[in-house]
Amino acid sequence: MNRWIKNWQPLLAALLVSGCSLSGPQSTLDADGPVARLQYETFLVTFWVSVAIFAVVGGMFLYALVKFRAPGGEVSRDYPLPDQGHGNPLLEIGVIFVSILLIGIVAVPTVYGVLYAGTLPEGQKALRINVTGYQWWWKFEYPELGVVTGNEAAIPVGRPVEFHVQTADVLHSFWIPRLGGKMDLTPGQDDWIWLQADKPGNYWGQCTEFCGESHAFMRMRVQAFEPEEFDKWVAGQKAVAVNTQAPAAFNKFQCGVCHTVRGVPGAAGLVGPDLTHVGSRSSIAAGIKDMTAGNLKEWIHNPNDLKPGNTMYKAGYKAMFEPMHIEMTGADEDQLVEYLMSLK
Amino acid sequence: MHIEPVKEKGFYDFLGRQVEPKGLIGWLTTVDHKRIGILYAVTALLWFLVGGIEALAIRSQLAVANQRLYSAETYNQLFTMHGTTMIFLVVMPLAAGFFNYMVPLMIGARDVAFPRLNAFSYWMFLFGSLLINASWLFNAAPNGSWVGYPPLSLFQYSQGHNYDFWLIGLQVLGVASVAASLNFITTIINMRAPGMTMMRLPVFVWMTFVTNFLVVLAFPVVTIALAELMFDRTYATNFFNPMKGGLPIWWQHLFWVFGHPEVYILILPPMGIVSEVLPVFARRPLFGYPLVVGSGMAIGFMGFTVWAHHMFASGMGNIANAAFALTTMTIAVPTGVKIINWVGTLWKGQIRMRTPMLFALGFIYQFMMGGFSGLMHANAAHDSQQHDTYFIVAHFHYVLIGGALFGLWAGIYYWFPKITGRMLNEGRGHAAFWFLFIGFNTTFFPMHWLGLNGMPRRIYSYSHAQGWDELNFLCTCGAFTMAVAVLLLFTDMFWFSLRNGEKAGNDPWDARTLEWTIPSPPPVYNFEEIPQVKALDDFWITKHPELMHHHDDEASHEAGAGHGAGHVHHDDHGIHMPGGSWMPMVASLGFAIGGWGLVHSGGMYHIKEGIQSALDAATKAGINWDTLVNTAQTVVNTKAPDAQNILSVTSAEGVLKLQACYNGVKTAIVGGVLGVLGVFLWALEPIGGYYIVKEKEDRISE
Repeated sequence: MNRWIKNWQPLLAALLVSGCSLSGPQSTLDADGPVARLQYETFLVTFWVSVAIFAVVGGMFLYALVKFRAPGGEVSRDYPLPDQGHGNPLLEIGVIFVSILLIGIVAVPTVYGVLYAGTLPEGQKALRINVTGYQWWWKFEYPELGVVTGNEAAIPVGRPVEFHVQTADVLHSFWIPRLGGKMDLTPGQDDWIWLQADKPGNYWGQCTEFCGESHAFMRMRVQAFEPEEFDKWVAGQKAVAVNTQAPAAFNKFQCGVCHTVRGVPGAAGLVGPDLTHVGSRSSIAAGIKDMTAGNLKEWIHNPNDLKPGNTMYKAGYKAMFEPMHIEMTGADEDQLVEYLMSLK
Repeated sequence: MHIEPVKEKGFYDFLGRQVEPKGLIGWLTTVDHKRIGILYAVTALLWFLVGGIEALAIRSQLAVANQRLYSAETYNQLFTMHGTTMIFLVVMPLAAGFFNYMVPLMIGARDVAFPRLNAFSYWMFLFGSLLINASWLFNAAPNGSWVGYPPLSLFQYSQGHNYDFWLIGLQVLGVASVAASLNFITTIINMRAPGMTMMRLPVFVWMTFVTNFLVVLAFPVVTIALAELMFDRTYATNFFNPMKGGLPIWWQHLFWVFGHPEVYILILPPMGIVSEVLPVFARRPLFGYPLVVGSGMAIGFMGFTVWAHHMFASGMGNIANAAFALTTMTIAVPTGVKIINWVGTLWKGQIRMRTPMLFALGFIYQFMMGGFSGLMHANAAHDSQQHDTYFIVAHFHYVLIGGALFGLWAGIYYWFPKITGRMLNEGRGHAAFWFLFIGFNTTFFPMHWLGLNGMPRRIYSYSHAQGWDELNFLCTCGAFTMAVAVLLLFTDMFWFSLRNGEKAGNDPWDARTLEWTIPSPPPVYNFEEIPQVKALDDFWITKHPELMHHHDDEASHEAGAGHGAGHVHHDDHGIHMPGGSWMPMVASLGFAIGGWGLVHSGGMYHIKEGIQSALDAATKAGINWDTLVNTAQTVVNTKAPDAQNILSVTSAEGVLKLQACYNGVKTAIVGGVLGVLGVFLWALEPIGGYYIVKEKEDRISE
């Protein structure tokens, strides 16, 4: 027995750890904002009601299996019959009554939670961010602040943020689990949710409505800053690019047709993410890789490896005709990586 | 016993329905509900293997982070076809197999109401399932999940035939389901044996009845949605195209108005099976029979009031979210009543741990777990966190495998002796159960945690940083454990026990209902004499006459239910049996060919719009269509510059695609004509059939 435990200890430990460790970067159980917290609390109500029912009904079930098992698991046909009762109306009425009562216990916090998440809090004015989903990246616009960014948004700590979601193509769903539940991006609907972060940090999110080939690679990050840090961030983002001298490769491959780099002539495309301050972001390719020179080079080298079917690959690398056709040398790649990293 | 064919006269005699057909032709032309039931079940089990292999492929891809076993596109096809297969090609037809085989036996009938329509349903199902899976051969398997939400499913975003296969395949399958449902509703209302009042029907028959009403009411809704999406894709209509004012959200409402009742279509028949198995193996009557039946009806009815709980994140607003949360919670009441009544059946019983019972008990536990996670989804506030995550995946596998499939497997173990005359092996059955039970819970229980830890569904890959590695690996281990169980079940069922199993006899389980009063396997005419039913669980009461209540007897005098009440007597003409017919298969083959054509006409008007300028130029230059197609062929094949003066490569490809669409339309017309011709000839068929006449000596010896 001891030996058995010894051999399997690492696996058991791994299971135990994985079973208990539910604080991944997208954990709904680690609520870091009022919306997520309230939703989690309503979840706990349903959870404990379920546990209570399970304890009673499951207990009866288990008791019946042990207590009323036929001797030896099987009896012959002429063995004396057990009780042949057909039911008990009082018990049935009781079950119906009790379950309605339990549903009431779950229903009240549910309705409260729906209304809480679906109503903007009064008092502090919410910051508005317009989110647009593309196959497969996110655009964040701050209409009141004049900031546009891609795949990474920043929000101030302690202030409600009103995310208005819309889509440029198919359905997507906007979800930052540690801050709160999700909202689908449906064409023709102006849907919104409000979220709020309690403390500074990186909050990961991901598209949760199936949106085609690279659905799995449509992630995002929301950074929460203290208010004064946030103001600094806004000022930085509003400025034109720190380096407006785009290298030859940037022009050669017509990056500006799809991407905007404010300050660079001709770089005003709206199809791809705004790159004006791409160097200041912590991730690339819609949150799937950390922002490092190596990762960026890998991404530029063949975008289809990291994100199959993406527009940059299909319209650029696969384009049959000059000048859209992209075929980079190592030198081109290094030049572009260096430039993009410099766009802090 | 001897056979006398019905003498037919007339011109259409050459179509004459087969007289007791034998061999392969017998199976192809059969109208016998038992054979059709076997065909349904075997076909469904084969698709179960396909769907299971797809599941293993999915789990292998997700076993570790950053895996690239195959492409993202393949993954999307695999999970879409896994869902579509398991729902439409496995659970529904496997249940239909039991409806077919068991319902006539359980109500004391010789066949279903419309035997040829029954055959037609099966062939439509078979050809529909082949049509939808033929997409694999074209590397165009459906790839947009089993819900197929537009705009992704519109031609603008999915130009292959993937969705066309899905749309047409599901419509063909829908015809099969609705035809079968009308048949079973009629059968259960009209064909019951004398004395078999509605409140004496076995619960499985009741659940069949409710399920088939759900099919009849829910499938037309999805058929409309599918047809509209098909029109959007093929004829460039704009039902769901937001660019032209269409409403993608409208699809979601239509789909889920069907989709939610659909999950009850999947779960109610297994609930019926469990309600049959528990009393037999607890040696007690079902606790609260009227409430089990009534709650089944309540679940079916309420199933139509909750569809939008699949759309809590779609921006319906607070009031709608709260309202649908409340309607969803109320479904817990009839479901809870059922579970309590099952536990009540076990209470004070003598529980016999045979394999069907193990599966039924596994059903109760796992369905209860699925019910709890369902209650957690009904909490709309937190559902916005759970929606489209692995928490949902865990939930619906608990109800669809842990519930539906365990229930169906209880049914297979329970009725296999009746169908084949041989028992399945108990030892292997127990082993299979425990492999399946442990494997299932290892696969799907951790998914609750994965979902709460933020893992969305339908993702091809994930990274280490997201923290889902260990649990995903555990899930994959569980999936392969389940595969062992399936292997055990299949080898036992199709090989060992089928050949060498212990002989079953009429009533191997000491059971309670009419199907156990006749030989195993049953003769073609089922009942030599139509039984006279005196009580609920009639066969049990016959075996234990002391349990007969006085009021049961009275009721049977008053009832006179079912056709032929009161005139059960020896018939000197013998038993009339319908002959076989080719027409159901011919008609459904025609419709399936038509569907095949429609698939290939997918995108027709969009393609035409795309090359309209090239077409106009060709018309101006006086080039006719055939020449244009030839030129396009040359351009695509040779890329010759002089040919490209007339057509660019892109336009040439468009022309060829359009030509393929036109060919598709031609095929569709041919198939449609064949289908209608099949139905027409079907209508002209003579009554045919034959009589099974009992010899005088047999009569005397009785």
